[in-house]
Amino acid sequence: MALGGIVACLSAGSIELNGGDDIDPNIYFGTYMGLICTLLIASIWMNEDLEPEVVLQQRMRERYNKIKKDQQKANQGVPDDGIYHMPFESSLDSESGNEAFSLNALYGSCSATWSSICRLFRYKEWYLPMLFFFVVGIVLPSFDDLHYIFLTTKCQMDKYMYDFLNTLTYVSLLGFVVLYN
Amino acid sequence: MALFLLMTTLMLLQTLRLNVSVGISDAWMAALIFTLGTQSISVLAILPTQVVLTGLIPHNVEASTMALVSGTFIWAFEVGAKISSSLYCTIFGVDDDHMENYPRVL
Repeated sequence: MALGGIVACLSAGSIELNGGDDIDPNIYFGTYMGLICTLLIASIWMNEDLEPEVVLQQRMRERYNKIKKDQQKANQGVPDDGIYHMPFESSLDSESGNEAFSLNALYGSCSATWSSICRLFRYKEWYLPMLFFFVVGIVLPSFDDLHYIFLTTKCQMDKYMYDFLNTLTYVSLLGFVVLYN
Repeated sequence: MALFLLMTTLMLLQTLRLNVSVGISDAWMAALIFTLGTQSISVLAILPTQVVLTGLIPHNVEASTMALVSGTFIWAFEVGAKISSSLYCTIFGVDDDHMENYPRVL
């Protein structure tokens, strides 16, 4: 986050320093979208324990199919009369069965997730910090954006100067993280 | 909270132009304010709380619970803070063209 902020501030300052020419907004949004996709992919691949429920559901479904196939194979012994009675499932039935399983599992998963989260709010150690930060959001305003207007209009500060100075926010953010560690 | 108070005090001093009267330029004052910016000092509130709350997160719902915790922090320092600041600006009649009451808002 801090590195992203530093890069963003330096880029914005450089653009302003070079005349502040308009750049195609598609470049901004394309870059932004690319970063979001990269972070999403990174979050899935870097730590398997933090995978979203969608991925876990897919895995459960695959595991269910595998178990089902294994059971079908195991049940295919030689019958007493020597005639094999192979059950043929239509692909439609099979898919609808899978979907039903997946939906049931999804409902169950969502229900279990919400129950677990709601259960946390019974504990004072959990709900008090949550309540504190919720109240902070209501009573503690942030005038960063308004101060930008003040600096660039009333104080006549150059926009590139503002952008370069704003880098300090993210440098100090890194410093505070190191301080905490 | 003390750092928030300090940052807001510095912003107030700058809006009252007291820094110029004592010989401190706006750039240096802004640098000091940015160093104690909302995003940076909010880390000192977020990190310890997040570390403590992580120990309470139940198994198998880690991602959802962490999303709730992160969402609460984003509400506190981004969304809620911006909504409440816009409310204060509306009450005091401050906008891009009318910055006279900005010190009063601070």
